[in-house]
Amino acid sequence: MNGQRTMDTTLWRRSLLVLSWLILAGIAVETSVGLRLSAFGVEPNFLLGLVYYFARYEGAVPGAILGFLVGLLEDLSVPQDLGLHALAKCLIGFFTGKLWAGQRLFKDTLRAQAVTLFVAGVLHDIIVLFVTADGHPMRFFTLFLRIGLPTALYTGALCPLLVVAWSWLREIGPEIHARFFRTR
Amino acid sequence: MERGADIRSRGSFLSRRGELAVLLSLTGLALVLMLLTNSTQAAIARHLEDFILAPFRTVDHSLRQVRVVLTSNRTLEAELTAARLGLARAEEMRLENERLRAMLGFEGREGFSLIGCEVMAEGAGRLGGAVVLLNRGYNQNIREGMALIGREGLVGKVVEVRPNNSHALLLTHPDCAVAARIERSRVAGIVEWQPGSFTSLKLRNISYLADVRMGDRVISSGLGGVFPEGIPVGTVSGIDKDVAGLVLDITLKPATNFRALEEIFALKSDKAGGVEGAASFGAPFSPQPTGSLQDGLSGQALKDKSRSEIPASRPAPPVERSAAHPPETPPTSPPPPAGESGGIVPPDARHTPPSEPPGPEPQERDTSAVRPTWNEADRSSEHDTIWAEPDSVSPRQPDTPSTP
Repeated sequence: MNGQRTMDTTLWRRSLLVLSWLILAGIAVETSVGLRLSAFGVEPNFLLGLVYYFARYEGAVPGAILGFLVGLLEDLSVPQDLGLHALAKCLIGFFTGKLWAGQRLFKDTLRAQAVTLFVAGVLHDIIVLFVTADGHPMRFFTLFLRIGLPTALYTGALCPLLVVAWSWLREIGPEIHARFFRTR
Repeated sequence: MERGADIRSRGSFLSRRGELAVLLSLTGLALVLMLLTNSTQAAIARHLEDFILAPFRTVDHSLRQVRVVLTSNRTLEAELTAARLGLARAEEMRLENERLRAMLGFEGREGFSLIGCEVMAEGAGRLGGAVVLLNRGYNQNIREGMALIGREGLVGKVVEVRPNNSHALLLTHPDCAVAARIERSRVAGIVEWQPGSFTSLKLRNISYLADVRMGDRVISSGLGGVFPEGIPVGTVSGIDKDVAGLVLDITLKPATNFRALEEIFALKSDKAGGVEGAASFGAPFSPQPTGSLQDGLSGQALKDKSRSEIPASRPAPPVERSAAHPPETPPTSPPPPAGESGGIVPPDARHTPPSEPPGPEPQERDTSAVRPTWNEADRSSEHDTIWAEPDSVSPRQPDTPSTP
């Protein structure tokens, strides 16, 4: 029992550390690289990619929690829509973890990742733009065609870059984790 | 498959019902946040932002500060290097100058040390405007006649010393004048206040043939020993001929901003009797109240009054001077004796230097009747070498101490 509790505590602390680390990294990438990669007014959604890959590797519940926290931070810049991005990213994180974790539906190829990331982006933007459009179908479709679809395409196209970034983050994270617990 | 099995085994302690509960909780929380009023949302967002992003902002601000400090440090280091280089060159030149002066048999120049003062009040005291009260006095080695300089240049001189504070005249005061010269062409003149202006000065006694250009720097000439040579006084901002067309009417923009005086320095001579003995520069101030400033006359009026009291006994200037200063016609009536001017005494007569030795020499002491005012003396300073005065009557130079 004691050993089980110690393992749970360690797992919880590790998860908390990894979550914090990923949120920081996601915000840093979004606010620095994201602006530089802007093309025709469309920016890749790095935070969505982060939630996607985290949920894929860690499962539905961690994905939902990270999605909620990252989305909430994103909402802070636009307080009128507080909770909107949190809801969208929470749902994306949860269902990505549910459908992808354990390779239940898709093969783990780069093309499959790009397609599923694109679909996740489309679903995310549908949720966000539906609320933003305030129930006006024309406004919704206009926003979706002008912003949502290009953003999802751009994010899906940057899938290789996200894979590299995710691999790097997963390499750096344990190192930080190891140093953190060693120094304590 | 191995990773999927690992995930499934890790998630086993959280059942499907538990996963659903987490999802519903987060979704419900997000929906609640969305359904709040705008003001509540803004308040929550502000609090969250302060709580979450404050550390990042602090770090960002610190990084910016570090960047600014590094840039500033780099600039200051470059300036310091340049200043050190300039100082070394100046020191070399000073030594060379001393050697050359020694070879020529000139007397060595005195050095000055600085006494920092703070301006406590402006326009204070019975001396009227353009006077400042300093927080240093006799106990801090401030003496009458000490020159005052600021960071940009010459400021004025000390005229009244008390135990722990002192009064100083600024250059914009009518009773303060400085022997100066154009730095480029070395033409000498007298800098004094510009009537009607508190932000500009006037350079007088410059011949219309002199080489003066707009923007020329004017520095103190050091004549008289009160103000050291080379202190910036101002820059030429206007050149015009006077009414007669013989001398230039030069306007200066002061180097010092007299409206923003805070910290200034008194120049203390390293030689005994240097600056401290020069208490009679320009219009020397005497602590004895004469009541003459209470009569309501301005400094210019006093000058005009005293100018009319120039006696006939004043020697006529030589012919060479006549180009710049035509000889004055002696007054037909004898000058009134001192003290008969209805209580109005010219500044020179009022401000008897305290260091003047007492002695029964009525002819010499009663100088108000025979001595030109400082204003007149200023005009003659450019031609010191050709100005002949009797032994008993010495025209007062602006920087020259009256104490022999």
